[in-house]
Amino acid sequence: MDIKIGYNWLQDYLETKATAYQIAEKMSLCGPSFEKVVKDGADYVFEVEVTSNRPDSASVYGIAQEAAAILPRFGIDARLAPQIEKYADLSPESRPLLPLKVNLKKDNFGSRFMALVLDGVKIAKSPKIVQKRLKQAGIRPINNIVDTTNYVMVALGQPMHAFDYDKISTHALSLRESRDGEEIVTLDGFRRVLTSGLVVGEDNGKLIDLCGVMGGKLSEVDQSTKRVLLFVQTYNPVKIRQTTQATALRTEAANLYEKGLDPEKVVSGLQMAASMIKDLTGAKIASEVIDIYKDRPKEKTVKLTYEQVKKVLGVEIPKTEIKRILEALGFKVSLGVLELAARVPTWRLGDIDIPEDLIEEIARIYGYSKIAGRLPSGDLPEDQVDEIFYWIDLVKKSLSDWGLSEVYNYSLTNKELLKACEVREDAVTIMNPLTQDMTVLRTSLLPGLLENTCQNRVAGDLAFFELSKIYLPTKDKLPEEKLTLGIILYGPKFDFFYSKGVITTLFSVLKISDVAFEPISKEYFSSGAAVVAGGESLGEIGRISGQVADKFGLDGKVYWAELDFEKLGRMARRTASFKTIPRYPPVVEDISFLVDNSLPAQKVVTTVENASRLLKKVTIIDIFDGASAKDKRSLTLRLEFQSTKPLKVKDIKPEKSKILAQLVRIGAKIR
Amino acid sequence: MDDELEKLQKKLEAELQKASDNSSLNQIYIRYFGKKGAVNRLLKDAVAKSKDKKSTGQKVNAAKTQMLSTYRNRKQQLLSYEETIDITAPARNIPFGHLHVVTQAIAEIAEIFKEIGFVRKSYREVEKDWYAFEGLNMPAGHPARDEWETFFVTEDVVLTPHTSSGQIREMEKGKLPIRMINIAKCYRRQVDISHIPMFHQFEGMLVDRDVDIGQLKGTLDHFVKRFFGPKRVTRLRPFHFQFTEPSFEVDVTCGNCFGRGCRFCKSGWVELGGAGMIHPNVLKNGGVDLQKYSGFAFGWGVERTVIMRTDIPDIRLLYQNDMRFLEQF
Repeated sequence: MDIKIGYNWLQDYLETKATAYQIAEKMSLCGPSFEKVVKDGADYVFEVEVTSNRPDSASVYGIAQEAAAILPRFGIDARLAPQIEKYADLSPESRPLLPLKVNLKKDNFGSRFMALVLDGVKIAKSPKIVQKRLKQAGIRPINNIVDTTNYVMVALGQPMHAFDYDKISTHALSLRESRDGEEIVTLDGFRRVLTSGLVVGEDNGKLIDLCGVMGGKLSEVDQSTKRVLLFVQTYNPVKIRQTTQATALRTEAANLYEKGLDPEKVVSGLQMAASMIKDLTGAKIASEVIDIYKDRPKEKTVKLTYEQVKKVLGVEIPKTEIKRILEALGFKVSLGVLELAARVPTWRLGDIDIPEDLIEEIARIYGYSKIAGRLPSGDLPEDQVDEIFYWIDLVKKSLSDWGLSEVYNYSLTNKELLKACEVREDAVTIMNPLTQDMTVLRTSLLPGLLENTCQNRVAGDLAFFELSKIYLPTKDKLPEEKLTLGIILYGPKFDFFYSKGVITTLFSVLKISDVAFEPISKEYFSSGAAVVAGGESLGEIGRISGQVADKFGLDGKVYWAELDFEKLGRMARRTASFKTIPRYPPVVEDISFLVDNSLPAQKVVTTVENASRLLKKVTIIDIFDGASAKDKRSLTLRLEFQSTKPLKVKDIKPEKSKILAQLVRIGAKIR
Repeated sequence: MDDELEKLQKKLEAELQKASDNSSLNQIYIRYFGKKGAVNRLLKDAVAKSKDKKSTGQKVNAAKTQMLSTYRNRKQQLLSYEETIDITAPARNIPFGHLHVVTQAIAEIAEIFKEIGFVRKSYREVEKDWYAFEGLNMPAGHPARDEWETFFVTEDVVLTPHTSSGQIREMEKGKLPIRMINIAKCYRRQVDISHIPMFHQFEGMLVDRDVDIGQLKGTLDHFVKRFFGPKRVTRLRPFHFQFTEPSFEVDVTCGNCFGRGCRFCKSGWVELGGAGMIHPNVLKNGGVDLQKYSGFAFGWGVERTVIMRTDIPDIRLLYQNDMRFLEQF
């Protein structure tokens, strides 16, 4: 919760000579964070971030309480000035007593409800100082009654509401749960339709209050108001949260109620507000005080051993100092031999439960700067290193070394984009998307990389890769998150065999051998191959179809590869096993021949490899398409014969015959 | 024979002149002075045909010595040749791609924590509400959940808004002590100059016996010294997270003034992230024995640390993937 409070206002409750900057600096070290100090004429305004577990600090008085405990730790004198005791008397001052009732339909609306009526109100503008302080807090001054309720809310952290008593025909505040479809016009002029179960105030069938959030227009305090019904309470935080969630209406008051407030503060709030209204308007208390206070907070004592304090802080604090610190914060402490017992003040019952909560109070006031840092000296975890990170780093580095650049695309995309790329449209859907172009989780890296290419297409040859997750719905609650590698190449420099080269070289880096490429047909490919190793398909590579490319404004050839990175990681190896270096040099010979275009090059190679056992290596060193015969191309193979003995011509000759015979069998014409 | 010798000498000189590299010279050597070279052949021939074998031999050998000298001079000349090239002309492009600046930051962060024994882990991005909120001491309906604007897949499956959703997953594995670092994608419904719907956080967690705030501080100091510079230090300020107690905000000294205060940082400190001692409820939910073990956790945004170091003005640039951005890193 962010609050703004004035430095002069703070000094109503805090007796100190500390400057605004000193206060801001020291408080931030031990308590709520003072984000800004803004000069305001002769005054200053503090912008403070109060954490959601400390609604007791979200007020001028609350900050003063913290400051009284913190500033002296730095040698700065500071004392809490409890002004609220001045407003003790709430007995009625005029007769006859005006009727007043508070009816609660259910008993889970809150722990304390107080109300009284003031008569003889003269509506006017609030005094300058009240207006100034409200403006510093970011609240618009309206009139002396409304301003009083806001002033007390900021001063004490106790929200409240003032009704025009005469506009409530039953002279009673009847709180019940709303019915589905009920309407209320709130003070801001909006007509709101409610769902069922929200706490509302009713008068004779009409709704006069959206409890804990905003008052209703029907009972609004305005220029004509003569009698005011002051209503101060603590609401059940869950009920108020229900209302804010259902109506999407957030107010300062709701913000406080939702966090759970101290019922003891209700009476202080009422006292201060009543007193202020009397001072500002000349009104008199004209009814009995209603105080419905069931479920008084039970006394809570938390025990804490000194050993525990030392264990968490790593430092031993003398028990007398611990006691001093806690008592400055409002705890009542009794010191035992091994442990202490701290009685929790009513305004901290919401956030102090376990010993660790006390330790935090002690530690922050003691000062975190007093705790020296040192590296953890415990045992290291048993080795559970996940190799995948090594492979990720290695692959990313290799690709970028070869000239590709890494991109990061958002995991969120939309169905239209998936459809345009002809990839899987059945995707994990977001119930509450932020924008319409991010409604599902991507099922492929292709759309993102196509967009990257499209966006950069004037930049010449483009080579991008992305290594991250795609998300595939499963029949279980949670989708499959698949780590995937996507590579896209675009530009005159590239062709299919270049992209194939990236893949095969990558496999060499990963020491995965025997990679094969098998034909595959996909909607987004005009030609493609599945990448297969170890009997498994690891991904695919191909040229993106002209239709898909065109949608992205890409009129050149687009090459795409997508690999299942988890599978890659499982097959990759860090070390190779040593193969003996042959003692004798190989005999190398080239042969050229014509084959049908329809015969895959790999088949030729395999045929030749299988023909002779003396062949160590067979490489295609040339493919010539412009051969004399139509539908035929010329292949040149480099044959490496190797043996453990030196090879002579007479050893090679029969092998060559075998090879040539096999080539002829598959339709080759030897040149 | 004198004629023949002279002819051979002239031929050698001519070839030596034509030779433009060491390889040609070596071939000339073999052709002339090798075992089957021209000079040896001439010698054998001349001596065979001559009447005065001794003096013929001597004459040929004298000529050979002279020719060798001519050869060596030429070789010397060629080998000490200095070429003139315009060294300022552009270099050829060696392939050079770019790792994304976020990848580089992640690698650096992982390395820094590896030095002190934090093992890198990863978990789900699409996660059950239990791991993302409820198990972290944020029951359904708790206002603390508002602090993260969360994407929902179903009522109880979310896109995790923070890496803390990995804490209970890790503790559930049952292996102690835990010293882990999780660097992963998180998602929040927020877009502006300093927020994007998908971003990275890194989260460290240590669970062991006798873990205290001093060790947390020491770990954080190690990080800032290695990531920002040896003169940088951290400080802890009180804060609140449901899943830690005590909770802290972590600051690092400003890189410009090192804590003295300047117009960039005002106070001398810059906010870095959050941390805390793991809340007992969270440890319990993870199945950790509270009597024996406790722990701390810390975490913050990767993009934030990148921006702190590179002065990128708008976080959205990071994932627009414009080549003019990517090639800067």
